[in-house]
Amino acid sequence: MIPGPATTFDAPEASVLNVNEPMLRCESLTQTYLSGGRELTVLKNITFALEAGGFIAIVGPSGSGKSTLLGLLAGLDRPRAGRVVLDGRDLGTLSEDERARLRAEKVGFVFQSFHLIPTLTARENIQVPLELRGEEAAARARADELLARVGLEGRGHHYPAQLSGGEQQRVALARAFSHRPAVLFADEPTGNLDAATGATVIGLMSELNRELGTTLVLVTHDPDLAARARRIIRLADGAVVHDSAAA
Amino acid sequence: MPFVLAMAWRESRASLRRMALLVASIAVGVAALVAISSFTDSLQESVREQARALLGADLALGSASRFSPRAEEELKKVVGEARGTDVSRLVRFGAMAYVPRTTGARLVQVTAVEGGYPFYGRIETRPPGGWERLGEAGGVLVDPALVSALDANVGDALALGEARLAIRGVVTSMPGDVAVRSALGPRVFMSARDLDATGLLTFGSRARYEAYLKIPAAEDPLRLALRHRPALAAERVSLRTVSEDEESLNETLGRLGRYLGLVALIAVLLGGLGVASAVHVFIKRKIETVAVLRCLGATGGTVLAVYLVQAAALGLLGSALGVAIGLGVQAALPMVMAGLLPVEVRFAPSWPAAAAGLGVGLWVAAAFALLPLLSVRHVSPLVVLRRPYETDGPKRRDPVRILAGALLAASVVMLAVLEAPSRASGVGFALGIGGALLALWAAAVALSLALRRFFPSRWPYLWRQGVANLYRPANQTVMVVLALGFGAFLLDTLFLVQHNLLRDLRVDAGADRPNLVLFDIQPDQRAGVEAELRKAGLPVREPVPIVPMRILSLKGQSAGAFLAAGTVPRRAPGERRTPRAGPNPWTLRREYRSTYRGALTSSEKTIAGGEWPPPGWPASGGPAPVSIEKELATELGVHVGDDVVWDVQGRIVPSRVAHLREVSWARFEPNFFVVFPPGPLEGAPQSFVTLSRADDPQVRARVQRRIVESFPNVTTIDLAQVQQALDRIVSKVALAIRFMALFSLATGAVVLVGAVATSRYQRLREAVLLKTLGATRGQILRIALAEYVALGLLASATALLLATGAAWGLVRYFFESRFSLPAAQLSATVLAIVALTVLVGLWTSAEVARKPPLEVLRAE
Repeated sequence: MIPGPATTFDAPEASVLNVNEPMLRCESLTQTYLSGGRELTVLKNITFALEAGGFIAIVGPSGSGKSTLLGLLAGLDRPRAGRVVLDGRDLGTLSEDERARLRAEKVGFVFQSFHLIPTLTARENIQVPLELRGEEAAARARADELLARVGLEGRGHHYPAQLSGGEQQRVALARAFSHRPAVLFADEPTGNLDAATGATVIGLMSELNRELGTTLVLVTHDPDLAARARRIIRLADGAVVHDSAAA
Repeated sequence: MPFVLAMAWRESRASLRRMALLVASIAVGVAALVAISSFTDSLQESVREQARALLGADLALGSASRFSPRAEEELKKVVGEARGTDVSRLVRFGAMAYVPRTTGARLVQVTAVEGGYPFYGRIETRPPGGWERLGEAGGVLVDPALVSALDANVGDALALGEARLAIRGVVTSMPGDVAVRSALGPRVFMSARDLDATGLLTFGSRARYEAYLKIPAAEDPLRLALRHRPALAAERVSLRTVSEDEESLNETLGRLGRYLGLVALIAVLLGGLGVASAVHVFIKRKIETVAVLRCLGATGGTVLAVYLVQAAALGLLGSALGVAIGLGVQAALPMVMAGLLPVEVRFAPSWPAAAAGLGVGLWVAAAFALLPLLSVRHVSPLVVLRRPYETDGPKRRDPVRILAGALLAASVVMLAVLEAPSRASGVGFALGIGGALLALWAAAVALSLALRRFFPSRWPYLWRQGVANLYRPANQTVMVVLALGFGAFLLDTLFLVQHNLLRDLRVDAGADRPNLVLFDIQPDQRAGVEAELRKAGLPVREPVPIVPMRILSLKGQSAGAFLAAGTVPRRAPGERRTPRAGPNPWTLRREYRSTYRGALTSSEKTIAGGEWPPPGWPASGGPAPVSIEKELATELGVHVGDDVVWDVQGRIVPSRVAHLREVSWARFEPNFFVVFPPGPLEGAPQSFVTLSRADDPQVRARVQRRIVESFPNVTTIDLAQVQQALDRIVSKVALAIRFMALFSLATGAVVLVGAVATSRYQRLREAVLLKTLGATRGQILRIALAEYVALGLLASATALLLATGAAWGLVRYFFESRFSLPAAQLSATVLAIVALTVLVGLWTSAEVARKPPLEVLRAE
C-alpha cells in the first residue's frame, strides 16, 4: 500500500485560508434517510481531507454508505449534519443550482452503470459538459481528441445502445475528463465489466488522471482496484473504520 | 441557450415516435380550429364577392302587402333622383299547384316576375335560356323537386289557381339559393302578366310584394337608401342595400363561425390535456437522463428548458400537421354544409387562420407541457447512484408551480375570449370548462377515496385486482376520467341540446291530432269545402275565422312614426346596436291574422288578465278587449290596460289589452298572436281555416287534389310532408354540428390513449410479475377489463351528469325551451363510451399480456 503524502490535512481545524487548502474536505458528515417512516443513519461523523492531485479509494461492504458519501462529496445531496468543502467552496452554502454549476466547472463522474444519455451519440455525450459551460466550439475538438484517446475514433456517431459495456465506459471516461475537472468521482467504474475490460478502463483512467493532475475519488469494493489508490478509507455501517493515511 | 437547443434537438430525434401522441393531440384540435376559421374566412370572402348577386339588385324594397300609394310615390321619387334606374317587381306567395295529367297536388312558393330581375347574378335553367323567356306569358319555370313530386314532365301544363301554365323548364341554380329553403315548398317562377289569370291574390291570401332597383353606377345606393328609408318604413316597406346585406350576413356568418370555433377550441384544449399526459409519461422515463445531466452540472432551469423546447417543437410540428389537415377538411366542409349556405364557397386557404392555428397550437402545447415538466427541476442527481429513498415529493407550495397553473388558466381564458363571439361568453365558456374539469377531477378523487374505504373485498380476485388498480400508486384514474369525461361531457351536451331543440320542431302528430290543414277558405266556400271533406269520409271541425289586420297605433303613438324613427339611428360600422327603445319593428310591420272566440283552446294558458273573454264586456263599454300572446306582448312592450288601435282592412278598430296568454306553438292547433272576443270583428272581411285528419297519405293526397280542383285558392297542407321537410333540414344542420363534434371525439380518443399510456409502464411491470407468479394472459386481460370498465363507467356517468346540468341550463335559459332527457339514447352513449375505454385499455394491455416475462424483466 502506498503511504499518504506528508501534505495530507485531516485535522478539522485546517484553515480555509491556508495556501495548502485541500481540494476536498469533509467535516463531521452525517446523513440520515427516512425509510418506512423510520429514520435511518447511513453516515456517521465522517471527517477527512484530500489534497489536490490525490487519489483516494473508499471501500467497504455494500450498504456501508460508500455511495452516499460519494453523493455528498460531489454535492449531489445535502448532508444532515457536517460540511463538505470542494476546492475552497463550502457546498452547504450553495443552492442546488449553484452546486450544479460548480460540478460543471470542477467535477467529473464515472458510474458503475455508465449512465450515458441513451438519446445522444457517443460524441454528443462527451460534448455535454463543455457545452453546458457554453464552450460549443471547444467541445467538438475536445470530443475528437478524447474519442481517439480512449480508442473509439470513428465510433462517435454510435448511440450507447450500439456500444459494448467497455466501450460505453470508455465514452463515460471521455465525458468525465472532457472539461478537465479538478475532481473525478468514480463509483464502482468496473463493477459492470469483465476483468479484462475493467483493467483497460482502469488503465485509461489512471493515465488521464496523471496527465491532468485530477484529484480522484474512487468508490469500490474491489481490493485490487483499491490497492492502486494512494490512500484507502474503509467504511462499515456508515463510519470510518480504517484510514490508511492515519495509520 | 445553444446547449438547450442542441440538447433539445438531439433528444427529440429519439423521442419523436414516443411523442407521437403529443403531436396527434395538438394536430386534431388545431385541424378543427383551422378548418373552421379558414372556412369562415372563405365564406365571408365569397359573400363579399357575391353580395350583389345575392340581392340581385342595388336596392330592394319589400312589404307584406301591396305598396300603399304613398310608398309608390316614394319609389317614384327614388327613380326620379337616380335617372336611368331600372325597376323590376316581384310578388311572392304560397299556392296549391297540380298537373292535370297526373295525380296529387303540392303547396308551392310562387314568384311572379315583372322586369329584368335579377340585375346581377345568373339564374341557370334546363333547358338553358328559360329565365330570359320568363317574361313571355303562359309558362313557368319550376324547381326540380316539383317535377318529381307531381310526376310531371317539361311541357306539361301546371294548374295554378284558375290558370294553366306550361312548365318550360327547371331552375338548376340561382344566386343566394339556400337549397333547404325550397324544402317546405318547391318554387314556381311565372310572369307577372299571368298573375290575374290565376285569380289567386284574392282576399286574405298572404303575399310579399317586392321591387328591385338597378341604380346607375354614378349614384350611391346607400345614400339613396338612407334618404328614403324613413318614409318607406312608415309605409311598412323595408329597404335593403347590397352593402348592408353583406355586412349583416357576414356578421351572422362570423358569429356562427365563432360558435363553431368554440367547439374547435374544446378540441384544442382536450389536445392540451393530451399534451400534459404525454409529457407526464415522457418525463417519467427521462428521470435518469435528467439526473445524469444534473450530475454533469446542468441547472434545474437548463434541464427544464431542454424539455420545454422539445415540447414546444413537437407542439409546433403537431400544429403544422393540424394546419395541413385543417385545410384539407376545409375543402370537404362545403360538401357537409351543402344546401345550408347562401353562397358558392370557393376553397381558398386563409393564411391568417393558418397562422393563428399554428400559434394557438404552439402556445397550448407549451402551456400544458409546462406544469408536468416543472418536476424535472426537482429530480435529484442522486438517482444516478441508487434508487431514491422515499422522497417528500414535489414541494407543495412551489411558487413556480402556482405561477405555471395561473399561466395555464389565463391562457385558456384568453383563448376562449379571443375565439368567443363576446368577451362575456368567452369568460363564461372558460369558467364552464374549468367547472367541468373540476367536477370530473373531484369525481375521480372521490372514487379513489371511496374505493379505498369501501373496498369490495368479497369480489373474486381478478376483479379486486383490477378495481384496486384505480387507487394504487401511479394509478391513471384522474387522468383518464378527466380526458375521457371531458370528451364525453362535450358530446353529451351537444346531443342533449340538439335533442331538446329538435323536439320542438316535431309537430305533435298523435293518433287523434289533425294532420291536414286547409286555409284561405272564403266565406262562400265553407259549405263546399266541408262537403268535400265529408265525401272523403274525413272529420270536419268548426272552421276558425281569420281577420287580417295591422297595428295603426300603440299606446297612442302611431306605428308609422315608430317605424320611421326606428330607421334613423343606424349604427356606425363596428358600433354595437344600442338597446332598442319601444316596440320591435317587425311587430309593427307585420300583418296580423287574428281570430275571435269566446274561450281559450287546449293549447293556451292564461298569464294575466283573468278570465277570457272579460265577463263584464261589452256591457262595461269602452274599446274591445284583446288577448295577446305573452312573447308578442314583450316585443310590443304592452301590458294589460294598454291601448292598441288596429287597421282592419281600412276600418279603424280600437282595442285595449285585457288578457295575456301563453301558447304552446308545438301543438298543432290554429294558434294566434291576437284574439278578439266574439262581436267586434264578425262583420269584417274574413277567411276561414279548418283542420281535419286522414291516416292514409293517399287519402290525404286525393283530398288535397279534389279541394284544389274545386277551390283553387284554398291551400291544403299535409303535416306529414311538412314534418318530412323539417326533418330533412334538421338532419342537414345536425350533420354539420356532428361533424364538428367529431373532432372533439377524435381528440378525446387520442387523449384517452395518452392517458392509458401514462400508467402503462407501471402495468407492464405488474403484469410481468403476475405472469412470473403464474397468471395467464386471460387473467391479466380480465384484470385490465375490470379496471377499464370501472374507469369508463365513472367517466361517462360523471360526464352525463355534468352534461345534463349544462344542457338543462342552455335549453332552459339560453334557448328558453323545455328540457327533457332521452333516457334510452343516453344510456346508449354511456355504454358506447365505456366500450371505447375498454377497447383502448385492452388494446394497450394486450401487448403487456403477450410479452414473455423475461424480455421485460431484462429491459428493466
